[in-house]
Amino acid sequence: MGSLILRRVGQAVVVLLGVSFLTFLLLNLLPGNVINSILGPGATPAAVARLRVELGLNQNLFLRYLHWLGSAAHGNLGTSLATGQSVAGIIVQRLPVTAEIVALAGSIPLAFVAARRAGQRVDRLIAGGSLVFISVPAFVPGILLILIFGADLKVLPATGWVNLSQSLGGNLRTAIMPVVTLALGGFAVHGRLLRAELVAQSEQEYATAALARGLRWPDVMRWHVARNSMIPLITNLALHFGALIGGTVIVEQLFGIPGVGQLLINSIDARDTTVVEGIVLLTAVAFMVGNLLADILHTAIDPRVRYAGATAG
Amino acid sequence: MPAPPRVEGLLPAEVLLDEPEAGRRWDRTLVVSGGVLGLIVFFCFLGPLFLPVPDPSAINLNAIRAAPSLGHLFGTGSDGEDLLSQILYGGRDSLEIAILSVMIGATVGCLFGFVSGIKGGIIDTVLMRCVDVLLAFPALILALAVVTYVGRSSWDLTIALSFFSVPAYGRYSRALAVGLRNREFVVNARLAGARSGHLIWRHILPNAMPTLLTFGFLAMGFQIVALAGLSFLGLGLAPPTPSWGGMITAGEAYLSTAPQMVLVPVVFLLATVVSVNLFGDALRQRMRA
Repeated sequence: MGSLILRRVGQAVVVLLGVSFLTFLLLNLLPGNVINSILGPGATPAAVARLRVELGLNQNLFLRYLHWLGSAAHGNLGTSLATGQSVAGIIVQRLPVTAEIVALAGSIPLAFVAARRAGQRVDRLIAGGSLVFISVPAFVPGILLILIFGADLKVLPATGWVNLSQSLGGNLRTAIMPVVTLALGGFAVHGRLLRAELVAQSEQEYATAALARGLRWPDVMRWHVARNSMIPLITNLALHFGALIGGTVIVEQLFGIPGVGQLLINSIDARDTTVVEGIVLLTAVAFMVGNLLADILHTAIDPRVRYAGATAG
Repeated sequence: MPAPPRVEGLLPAEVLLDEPEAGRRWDRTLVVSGGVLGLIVFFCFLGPLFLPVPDPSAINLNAIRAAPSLGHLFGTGSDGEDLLSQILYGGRDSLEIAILSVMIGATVGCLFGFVSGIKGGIIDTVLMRCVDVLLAFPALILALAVVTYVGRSSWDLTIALSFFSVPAYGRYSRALAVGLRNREFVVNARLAGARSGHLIWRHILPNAMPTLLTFGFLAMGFQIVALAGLSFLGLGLAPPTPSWGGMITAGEAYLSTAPQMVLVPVVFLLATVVSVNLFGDALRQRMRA
């Protein structure tokens, strides 16, 4: 298992290098650059040249990448080309993580209910609801939430954001709707996935055997079926992270939250390559670490897993 | 047949109503969702030819945000533009972009996956790491970058969205190719001296095609949602070209006075994506049965 994990880590590093280089290439080859967006269209050639040197943009593309990579390896993601702020400092984001926890907290009990009544009306109702949530873009339920709780009932602020450092209550009140909106998609996917696996696992022979040994059904569920059903969910959690980042961008726009999504859009617009590169890298790291953890947990939960190239790729 | 891979944004196969034993019900789902989808496609592509709808961006200051009536079946928007007409033209663009981007993504992805699965060894490793890079790369950021820097024509959007389905198809087609690689007819062809290209084109592709097509429906549903998301961020088709996502955004501010501006596109978006997903899923279930 140790060598397997090592190999996986090695693969992850290679993939991260690829992601960072792809981003770097993409951002530098596409038309438009940060100098125009800082100085505006009326800049003199001399000022443009001076800024180019100042920002280090006159160097060879590949050298710049190596330089950036060197500092990134030391945990320094550079400073924003447009504002001079430290990139690592601006990318602090709790929204997607909170949303994922909420989605899990909601979907797991619901999956158990649906699995217990598989094929019955409750199950079909949950399935239908999940299908709807999977099939709409995140901003549609968001708009409805704003309309109901923000405009009609006036129990929550429709848009805006209060920082945690300013007031805990205010932060919670502004966070509820964005978190719920963001969680809905994951909620539906995780719930359906777990439900399907619970049903499939509870039909396995080991469940029947456990019953035959005299265990009560709730115990069989808890100690045997539930444990084995977690594997696809864990894998999916890691994969879901990328989609969650996309959802965050939309939800922040909708609720007027100054977060990583807004930062991303503005930075792409301003050709602020270091900020975009930092966001991409952190997303990719989170994704890879999530997948790695899923792999490790998978081996820990399921003793049959002997990778040895069987599932390589 | 291996299960579809779990890839960012694409539905895990087990997500929908997973009831393999209820064969008949799947036939019904297939017919109903296929019918709804067919109607939407028919009216979006051919409706403007025979329905008396005005130009989707025609301004009519006498009927601003009018409620649905005989003249405007779905009501009108902020400039008095006919919502029915916008739905039809916007739907045509959405479907076109979704279908094309899935086809492009599938072609590129399958190229990676089939070669990887057939060749194996170092080529497999290198190609799959490339697919992993795309998988780990947040596709929305790529799409945002393409749209911001290159443009917002329907062709740019198609390219931008096609990146979403490349890794999914790459993984899936590799799994399919690996599953087929050691089947007798493939081995025989290889022993007879067939080259890899021939194997892929004549043996792997035809056998993998039905599964890949089915998967395409699920991918398409996702593309339509992603496109609406881009429109919401103001990065979809440039106005005045109508789009479903853009219509929802435009109507958001008038939700309490002119709800049809949001409800109509939401209903169409939902109906399309739900039926695409159900159709793909029912097809998959049928093939499995």
